This record gives sequence, C-alpha cells and structure tokens, in this order.
Amino acid sequence: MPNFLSLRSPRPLRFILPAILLCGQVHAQRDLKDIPPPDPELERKTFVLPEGFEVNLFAADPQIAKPIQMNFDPQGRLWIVSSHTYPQILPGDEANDRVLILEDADGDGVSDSTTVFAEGLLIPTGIEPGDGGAYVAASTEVLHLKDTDGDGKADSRRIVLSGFGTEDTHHILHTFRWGPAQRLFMKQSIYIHSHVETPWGVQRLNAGGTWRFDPQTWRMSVFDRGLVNSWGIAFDDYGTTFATDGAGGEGINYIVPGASYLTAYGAPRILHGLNPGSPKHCGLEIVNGRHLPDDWQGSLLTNDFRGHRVCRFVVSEDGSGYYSQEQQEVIKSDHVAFRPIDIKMGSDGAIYIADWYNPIIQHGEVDFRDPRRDHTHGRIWRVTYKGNPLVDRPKLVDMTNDELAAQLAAPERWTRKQAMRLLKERGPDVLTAVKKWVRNLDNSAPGYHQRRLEALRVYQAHDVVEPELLESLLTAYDHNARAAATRIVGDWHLRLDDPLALLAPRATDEHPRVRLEAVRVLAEIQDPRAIEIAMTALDPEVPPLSAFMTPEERQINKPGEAPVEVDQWLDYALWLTCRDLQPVWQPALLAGEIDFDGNTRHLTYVLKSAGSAETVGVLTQLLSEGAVPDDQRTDVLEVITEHGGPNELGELLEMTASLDDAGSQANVLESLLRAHRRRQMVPAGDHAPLEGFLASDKAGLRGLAMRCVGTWHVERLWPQVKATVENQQASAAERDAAIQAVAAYSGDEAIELLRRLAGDSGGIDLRLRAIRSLMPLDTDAAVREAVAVMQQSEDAGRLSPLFADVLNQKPAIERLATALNEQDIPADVAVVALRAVRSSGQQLPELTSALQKAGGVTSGPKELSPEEMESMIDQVLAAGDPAAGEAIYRRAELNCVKCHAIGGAGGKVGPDLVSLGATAQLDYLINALLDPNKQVKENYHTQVVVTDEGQTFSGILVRASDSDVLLRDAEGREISVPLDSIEDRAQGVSLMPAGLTDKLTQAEIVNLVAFLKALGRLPEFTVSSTPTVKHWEVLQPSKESAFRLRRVGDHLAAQGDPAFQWVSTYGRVDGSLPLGDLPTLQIGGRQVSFVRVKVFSDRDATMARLSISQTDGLTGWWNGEPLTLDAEVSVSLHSGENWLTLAVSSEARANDLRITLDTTRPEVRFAP
Amino acid sequence: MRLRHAMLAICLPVLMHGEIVSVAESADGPALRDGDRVVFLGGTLVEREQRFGHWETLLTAAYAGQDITFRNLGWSGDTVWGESRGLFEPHLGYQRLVEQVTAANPTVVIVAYGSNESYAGEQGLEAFTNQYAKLLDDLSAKDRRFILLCPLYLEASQIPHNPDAASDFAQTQNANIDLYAEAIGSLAESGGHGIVDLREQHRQHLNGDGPPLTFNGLTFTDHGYRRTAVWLTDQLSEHVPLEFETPSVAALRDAIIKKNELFFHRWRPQNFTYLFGFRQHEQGNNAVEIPQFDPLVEQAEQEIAKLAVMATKD
Repeated sequence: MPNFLSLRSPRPLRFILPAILLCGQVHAQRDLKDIPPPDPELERKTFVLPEGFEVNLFAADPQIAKPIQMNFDPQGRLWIVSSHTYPQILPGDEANDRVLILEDADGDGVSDSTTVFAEGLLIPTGIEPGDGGAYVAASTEVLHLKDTDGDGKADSRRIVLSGFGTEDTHHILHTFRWGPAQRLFMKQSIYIHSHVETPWGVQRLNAGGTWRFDPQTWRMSVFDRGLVNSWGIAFDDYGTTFATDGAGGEGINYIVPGASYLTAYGAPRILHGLNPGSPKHCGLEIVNGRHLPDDWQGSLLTNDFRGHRVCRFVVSEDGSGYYSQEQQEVIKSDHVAFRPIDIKMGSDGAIYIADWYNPIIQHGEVDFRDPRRDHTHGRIWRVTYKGNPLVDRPKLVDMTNDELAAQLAAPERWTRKQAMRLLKERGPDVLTAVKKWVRNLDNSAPGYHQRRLEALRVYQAHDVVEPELLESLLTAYDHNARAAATRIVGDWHLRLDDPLALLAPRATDEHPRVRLEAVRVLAEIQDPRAIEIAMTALDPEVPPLSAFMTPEERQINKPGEAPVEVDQWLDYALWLTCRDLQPVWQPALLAGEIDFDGNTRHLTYVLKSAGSAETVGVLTQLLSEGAVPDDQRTDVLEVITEHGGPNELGELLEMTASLDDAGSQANVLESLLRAHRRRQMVPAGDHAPLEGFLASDKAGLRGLAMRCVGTWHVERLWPQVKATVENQQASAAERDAAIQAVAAYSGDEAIELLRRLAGDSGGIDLRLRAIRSLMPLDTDAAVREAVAVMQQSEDAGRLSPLFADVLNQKPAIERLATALNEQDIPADVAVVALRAVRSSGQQLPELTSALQKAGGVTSGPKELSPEEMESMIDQVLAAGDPAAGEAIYRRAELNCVKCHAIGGAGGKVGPDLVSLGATAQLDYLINALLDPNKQVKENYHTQVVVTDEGQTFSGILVRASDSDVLLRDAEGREISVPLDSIEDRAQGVSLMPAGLTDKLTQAEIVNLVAFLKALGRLPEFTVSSTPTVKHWEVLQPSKESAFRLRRVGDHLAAQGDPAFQWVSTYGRVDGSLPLGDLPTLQIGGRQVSFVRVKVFSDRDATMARLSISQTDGLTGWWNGEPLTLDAEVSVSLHSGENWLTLAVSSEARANDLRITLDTTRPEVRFAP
Repeated sequence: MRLRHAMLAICLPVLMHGEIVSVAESADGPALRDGDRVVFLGGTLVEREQRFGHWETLLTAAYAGQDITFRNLGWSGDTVWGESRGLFEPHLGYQRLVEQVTAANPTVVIVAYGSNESYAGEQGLEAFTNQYAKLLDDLSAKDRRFILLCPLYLEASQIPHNPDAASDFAQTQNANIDLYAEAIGSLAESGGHGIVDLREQHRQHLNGDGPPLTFNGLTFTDHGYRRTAVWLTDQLSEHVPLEFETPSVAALRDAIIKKNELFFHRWRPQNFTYLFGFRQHEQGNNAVEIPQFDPLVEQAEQEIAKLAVMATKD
C-alpha cells in the first residue's frame, strides 16, 4: 500500500464488491498494458453501424501503415501520405516516409494494388493529387511530386513553397483540399508560425489558420484564422465552408471568409463552432450521392478519434449561419487502437475512412519514444449502405470536354468535383464546352442555378471573368447561388466594371447569408463607398426581389418577408469589414468624402467597431447629440473610453450631468475610471459634474464620484473625500469607496490617513480595504498590518481579497514572506493564502514555505514511485467505481466543476473533460491529479503578466490582440491587460491546485480516476448527442424565500421574485440532476426544491417538445404559467430566453431529474 | 580571389566614385581562409540552397584541401528584423537571429537580406538600411568578417500570369531591388565589408536567351542555383571548377546536402515546443537527442573534406 496519502477511513466492503463486478473487466481491456492483437477482423467486429450499413476492409498493413491524410484523384485512385517517423526523427535514422497510391481496379471494394509513389519524406501530413502528380505537405515545405516517365513512381520533386513552421509535428502544414475554384486549401495549427515567400511578397501566418494557394498565379492568402488543431475542411455544393477541430471542442465550425476562430493569433474577437461541448474531431467530408439514403444527403461526417467514433452531423440554415445537430454515429467502437482520422467519399459512392491505428495518440503527454506507440499498422475502411446499389464509377479522364462539362450536373459531388479538377487541368480551352453546356441547361429543372454556378466556377478556376453569368447568378432565385456568386465578385472585383453596383443590392438581400457574403467581399474593395454599402446590411428592410426571376419563381416569391436580423455571424462580418476597411474609410470620413447619407446608426456602428483616436471625436459628438441608438450605447462608451483623449473624456463627463438616470451616470464614471486605469487619461475641464454626484442620494454614485476625485486629483473636492473616510456615520460601502479614493489621490496626507485606518481594528472590512490600498504606497506598513490581521483573523475566507492583492504586487510578495518569519498564523488562514498562491499560477517557493511554516500546514504535489503508480493503476482497474467517482467530482469543496466543463457544462478555466477517458492513460490521469504541473494541456499554462506599474496578473491566455492580452483567472473571470502596459510576460504553472487530493482518501482518489477514465468511453459517462439540460438553476433556501413561498404559493418561484437567489449547478455527465444534491425549502411542513431551466429560441411562436424523465412529485411552470406535466410536453417559445420552472417534492419523488429536447427544431436550444 | 577592386567597381559604379580604394585594400586577400567557419544568412534563397547544395559544393571544391565549413542559417521569409525567427514570441525574432549566428560561432557571415524587405519600396528603405547596419553591428565579433550578398532580380518572363497584378510589377520590383542593393553596397563600403553583387551577371542572363533560373520569377530552380553558384564562386575564389557535372562533384554535392539535412535537424528541430519551448516539461527529456546530431554532422564534414579533394583531382 503506498503511503503517500492519508487513509482516513477504509471504504466499506459492500461498496467495493459491486464496483469490481461492474467495472473491473471493462477496465482490464482498456489498460494499455494489453495492446490488442492487430488483426483487422478483430477490429472490424467491434464496429457498430446504423441499421442497413456495413463496413469492409479496403486496405491494411503491411501494404499501408500510419495513414495521415488521403484524397482521391479523378481516376478514382486513393492517395495517402503515411509516416513511420512521427513524432520525431531519431538521430541517425533516415526520414523515409511515403506517398502511397491505392487502386481498386476490379471495383470489388477492396484495394488490389499499392504503389509507393514517393519515399524519403519527413512526416508528410497533407496530400492532394493534381497537375500531373500530387502536392504534398512535407515539414517546412510544400512539394509537388510528379511521375514523368510513367512508371508509377515520382521522379520529379519540386519545392513549391517553403517556410512552414514545425514547432509541433501534429500541427505542421496539413489537410490539403482543392477549393471550389481549384485553389489549394492547406491548414496549419496553433503552434505553427509560417513565413512564405511568393513573387508577390511574403505571406505570414502565426498560429492556426487556413491557407489558400493558387499554384498557377502563385497568389497566396489566409482564408481564416484560428482553431486549435483543425484537420477537417469541406465545402458544400455552393462553396460554403465548414471545418472541424482536432483539439477544440466546438464540433462543426461554419467558416466565414477572413474570420477568426478559437485561439486565433491577435484576434480581438472570434466566432465559435456550432456544437460547443463536443469532443475533438478530425477530418471532414460532406457526403451525398445515390448510394446513400435520403436522410444522409449533405450530412457532415467527421471522426472522434479519441472516442473511437465516426460521427455524423446535420447542419441546417440558421439566419446568416448554420445550426448543427449530431446524429447517430457512422461507426462506434471500443477498440483501443481504432483511430479514424480522415474520411472521404469514393468514386463508387461509398465512404472511406483512414484509421491511423494506434493505441497512443498525440505526442505531448506520452513520451516520443514510448514503446507502446505503433509505427507499422494502418487501415482504410469502407462503409456502404445495403439499401442502395453502388454508383457506377465514372471514367472521367477518358471523356471529351463536352462530356466532362456534362458531368458538372452529376448527382455525386465526388464526380462533379473531379470533373471540375480535370476541366481546370485541361486549360482554358474547355470554356467553349462549358459555355455550350450551360447555354443548353433546362431552366425549369431542379438544381438549375447550382449547375450554372458550377459553370461559373470553371471560369473562376481559369481566372476568366464571365460577367453575364455572374450577374444572372447574383440575382438568381436560389439564395445559395446568390451567396456563392457574391463571393466570386470578390475574386474578380478588380476586373469588373462596377463591383460596388453588383454588391449593393446583395448587402440588403432578403437572405442574411447573402448579406454576410456581400459584407465580407466589400472588405476587399479599397473604395470609401464600400463601407457605406456594407453598413446597409444593418437595415432590416427587405427590398423587392429582382426582375431576373423566371415567371414561375416570381409567383412563389412573397414580397415583404420578415425583416432581416443582424445575428452573430452577420454582426461579426460587419465588425470585421469595418476594421479591414478602416485605412480606406477613416481618411475619407475625416475629409468629409463619405457621410453614410446621414444615417447615424451606420456611422456609429462603424466607429464603435473600429474605434480610433482620430474618430473618437465624431463619436463623442454623436453621443452628445443623442444620435447614438440605445443598443449601441454601451459599445460606444467602451470605444470612447478606449480611444478618447482628455477633451473627449471631458465632454463625456459634461454630458453625464444631463443624463436622467443614476445607472447610466454610474456607467460613464466607471468608463472614465477605466480610461485612467488603462491609459492614465484624465478628462479635461473642471470636472464640475462631480460636485453634483457627490451630493447624489445614490450611495453608489457618490462612491464612484469620490474615486474620480481621488483618481483625477481634484483638489477642491478632496476635503469631502477625507470627511467621508472619517465619518463613522457613513455606510461601510461608502467609506470603502472613500478609502479607495484616498489611495488614488495619494500624497503624504493620504498615506498618513491610510496608515491610520490600516491599524484601526474597529471594523475588519474597512481595515482590510485600507491595508490593501496602502500596499502599493507603503508596502512595509501594509504588510505589517496584514500579518497582524492574519494573526487575529477569525474568518479566514474574508482575507482572500487581501491575498489576491498581495499576489499582484511583487514587492508585497517578498515582504510578506519575510514578515511571516518566526510568526504564527492560524492554519485556516495559511490554507486560504496557499490556495490563493496556487490559483495565481505563480511559482512562489519562499512565500509558500513561509505560509506553511507560519500556519503549520503541509501540502503540495505528490510524486509516485513506479511501484506506487502500478499499485494505484491496479486498484483503479480492480475497484474503481466511476459512479462513486462522479459524486466526488461533483463535490463543492473540490471545485472540479468550477474549473472544468464536461461537454460544455461547467467552468472554462481548465480543459473540457468530455472525452478525457478515451484518450488519457491511467498514469497520465493519476499524475494530473497528484501533480498538475507535470503535464499541462496545450493552452492551459498560465501566463504571468507584470505591468509597468508592478502589478502582476495571471491566468490562462484566452486571446491576445494587438492592443490587449485577455486572461482567464482561476475564478473564471476574464482580465484584460493593455499590451502597452506589459513589462514582462512569463509562462506560469497550471491553475489546477496541487495538493487538491489532500482532501481525499485513497479510495476516493481511485474512484475519481475511474470516473475520469470512463469519460467519453463508457456509454453512461458519454455526453449524449440529444440536447439535454446540463445547466440548471437551483433556488437557495432562505427564511425569506420560504416565507414568501408559503404566503403566495409555489408559483411565485416561476415569477422572478427579486428576493429569490438562484444558483447555477450542473447535472451529471448523463444529464441527470441528482435530487440528493438539491437544497430543500421547508414550506408549511413540505420539503420542496425548486429548479429552473433556460431555453433559448431564435424566433417567436416556435413550438418545441420537452421530454422529462419522470413526472412524479413535479409541478411545472412555463414562462411563469402553469404547465401540465407529462413525459412529453409541448411548449410555445418566444424569441430569446424562456424558462421552465419545476417544484420538486422530495417526499413524492425518488428519481433523479433529466430533461431533453426534441431535436428537430434548430432554433431552440438549452443554455450551455 | 576577386573580392576586391574590380568587383566593387561593378557593383557600385554610381555610389563609389573615388572612395573605392580604401575599402578594397582592407578587403584584400582570399575571401575565405583556412579554418573559416562560414554562415549563410537570409531568406528562402539561402534556406533552399541547402537542398540543392550547388553554392556550397562549388565553394567547397574551390577551397578543397582547406578546413572550411559551412552552416546554412537561412529561414524563409526572413528579414533584417529576424521576422521569421520569433516562433511563439514574434518580438524575439531578432534576438534569436543574433543568438543563432552566435551559436554557430562563424568567422565569416554571408548575409543575403534585402529581397523580402524590398517589397516595401522606397518608403521602407531607410528603416531597412538602419536595421541592416544594426544587425551587422550586433553580429560583429573579433575575427569575424562579413560578406554582403545583394538581392537578385525577379525574372519577369517566369512570373506567373496574375490578372490582378500591375503590368509593370516586375519592373517596379526590380527597381526596388536596385535601390536596396545599392543601399547594401553603401553599408559594405562604410563598414569595410566584402560585397557580392551578382546583378550584372543576372541582368545579362535575363536579357539573353538562356534557360530560366526560376520557376515563378522569384524562387530558383536547380539550374538557377547552378548558375548563381558559378557567379558567386567566381567572386569569392580564384578557382571556379569549370566542370561540375562529374561523378565526384555529384558525390560531393550529395554529401553536402546530407550534411545540411543533419544540421537542419540540429538547429531547427521539429517539435521545438516540446523539446525546448513552453512544453519542455513534458518532452524535454528527449531534447538530449538533438545534440546527438553534432557528431553526425562532424562525420559528414570529414566525408565532405575527402570528397572535395577527390572532386578537384578529376
């Protein structure tokens, strides 16, 4: 028995036995000491597919090994890059990785020849056949490999591009795919920094993003930025772009051109994925064709490589973006080495899946040279549907241009895509055939516009402008065609007569996604009018549809559609375009060349999106004229705070006096104080309005005004502040504000005053505030008093803010460590202080040991010997009970839920644990609990930032823009630090507290590990794809609430009484809310708990169906009205938040609560 | 060796006037000497030379029998600001550039910057010149010489058709190249550094009907590296091996490419993040493998020395 943990009480035997029976066997199979036999048939037998589907082995080792990416060529052959060398070349070894071509000549669904097209490569991670060979991502380079003598082997190797980063071999340039206009899309991931020379200049991309490269013109640009490690990109029939992320948890990402996503470098604002709380996904294909069933047409397929699943999503349009819903898996397996990582449709209409086959994935957490890494196996699986015949494989390469053009109407996207590729490679002569084909299309046939779009794409691929076809598609009845054509305007705008005239109507298109495309294209056009046109997308009106419709279409058209809403995507696109075009519109605006036709809403939007010192005056003027729309007010204040000089800030302060509500006035004062904190700005003028605020009957406003007096050093009002500090009659809150004001005012008199208050043992809260305020001014005195307070403290928790302040100031940290020498402090105080040290992410050995000594406590990371680790693993396997572990995980005092989410439900400080168990090995999990700093997940190191004022901030880096660094601290708060003020930045430790397990017995740790190991692996610990309530709010018991409920009735809980306090809580992984965890209220002899759930809707008058696990003991209200409960309840939703409130009678109910949502309505969802 | 009067006269006819003499005198003697450790510094042109090896092969052969080693520290897209070398800390790129050169401890640095920077045109010239001067200053050390390589022209005939580009794009950009090359010439003169300016040969080649040197106007083909290798070696040594298609020269080149690959794994290893970066606490134990490339590089160099002698005997 390892002796590193205190064993407080032995676990009762009756608990362990069932645990062994339930979990022991399953775990034993997962233990990585048992590497499964590599027989593909054994692997195949573990696959579970939907009814009617089957899977066969297309190719396997020894013919192929470790496939990384694959793509088909127009002949239907499958090209694969594979690497034996990954993750790191060994000194003395030859890099000898390969490009393979698999061919199924007889069409029986099994590869019958494998050609080694090229070898001698170093970890190739992307492949796309084309231009007589294939483009290959090879470490720092993109190569074009070609077979010039027809022997099937590459004999020409050209370096096309170089300068791609290799800081991490699973992030290096990868995932090649021809885009809709035959540009090569290539991805790189978060740790990569690339610098590529082209004849047109150097292109750079730091961190993740998608490159778009045209091998013909050598034009290269960044299509989107961010995502942690995105190995999936796909285009639908209209070129709309989607992506998946192999290290982010937001499922399908809808890609807006030019937008930034999770972890994008330098992005002040990002877009999120469509399925937050998803496991990580690798690869992406949009499937269709006659072989697949109807309900699979257009589905997005991707791989949960950690959970051994191939997943299917259905996306549906949602405003200017999309809604995505996961469906039943394509393949589900519990085979530990099944690692699906790429997925593509084949020429026969079947689905092909690359299986990297490895029990160990990644190379951060597991040693590069771990012997369990597999370097020799790999499989390609082929999924077919029994209900439909396969598709005849088209012989595209032998076709004439006319025949090839006709293939652009093929039902299978695979065929259309490959026909397009050949039409590109044959050169612009094919345009004659395409022109003929498009002219003879039947304009009443379904898909007419889509076919014309395909034709237009051939022109685009050859860089030949075809204005007539373009213009007719821009006004086509099919909004998808209009959206796609709009994007093509961006490609050709330098060669079109009047691109702005083409784009203007699309900016106010009846479909919001067409507007979005127009707004993004306008960002390309360096004309001041472009921004004016873009802003018209804000207008809700829908103009009448164009005259280009067929008579039939005109009949269907209903003028006066619902007004267009500016949803998150359109808003983002507008914001981005404002910023992109700033160098163009700003000088024009200041010179009076553009005026947005006097539309102040448009003007305000532009200025608040792309605020600058030059234009802040215009914004201040708009504000003073009362021209700023209410919904833009907060943003406008923000921009003035951020960019305003003394004059603008002075004007703002003047304006404040005339505002009629104290809330708005307080907002402005807070903004002005922030301007000082961030940029040391003081409003110009005599600050006259402060006098009025100091006399206000609102204490909050008085407090803010005092802080302004102190911060701006307003001498004539200083006596009032002093008087408040000393005024025993003033409220604690007001005196607190006054002390802060004194500290800000500074100077000898102020310091003397603070010293006195810091030593005044009258009231602990004011004394603490005085000590904290004195800290930067007279650190010695403040620390002296701090130690005194620590020694006398009866309530250690109250000292947390003091410790947080100390940890922000380097000198204070050092002095406190010294001052504690030879002193005793209560153990509780030491524990609270140590917790603060840990959650600061800083490594402070002196202070830590001083606190431990003074408080007589020990705590810290544990290290296991190999034997102890072995014994611990054995115990987890033999006796670990994941259900008991989940209960421990949910315990409030461990704070697991506060920092970590599971499937999006929970805190965001640490990584989402949704599929942790499917990837992490037991030794890794145990180490992570006992010594969190041993291995830290990418993106979860703390950044410790020291400002020029000596303040220290620490937290996880959320985003870094060119002006600010945004950190998330251990409390989940976001802290923004201006870049200009940063003097030093360093990597800190993990925010996960070491010594967390001190609070647990050995048996509890074993169960906790078993739970973590079950996440995403065992069905009952896997987040369901059905929308399930994860986030609940629970009514806190209090005398007052119980009293009011008794007097008025239970329904009061559903009516938002201000006396009620609701607290967030999360359900179990399976979605159930344990009743035992709920606080109960005593209401006239009844024991009742109240819970409520938020349901969002994007539209008014939407119906949705809720399923409730069981209705015993429940009473329900929907938006405050009584609701008759049944196993299934239909409810009507209005746009925005809707509330389901339930009273749970503890006596009448034994079962836990679980609520799910009927999934057919994309516009309705639970709160994350 | 012709890294002296004549060459400078070609390079800087306008700027130099009568002041050439003193520079030339101080730069007299062979460009490379026995015992030299030569570092190549620059962007893609330099970085990719390690994969072709022609420059290094010809220089090695020209100085066969002498102990001269070459280290290629080219990094695509790089500039005198070290813009490509910052990795996770873009602002540290320059510091890294200096550190990388210092670590190689060269006696000669062949600096080939200016091409990427020249896209900024006349507007960017002053900042470039100041930064180049600072770089030379920061890199200078006892017994260290600098040879500044002027940027080369865009090859107009090979620039891909880009319907959106200005019709005089190549002309404009080549005028920029001239501006930057001349500024580099001034720096060489004022600092007493050697200079290699291949623009004249390049211009003659571009005006002639020889096969193209680049495949996109900018990046050199195998043939491009061969031609420039001859021009370069012609300026840096007195013995240009006229025939470099012999089997022994080919063997020498293979060995050089192999050595460069080993050295690349040494100074720019993959997985920097885990081996040396902020996740080294996870895989930093494997960083011990990286110096294991040193003896392999050394071994390869011994092989190169032998092959160089053999190549010159043919």
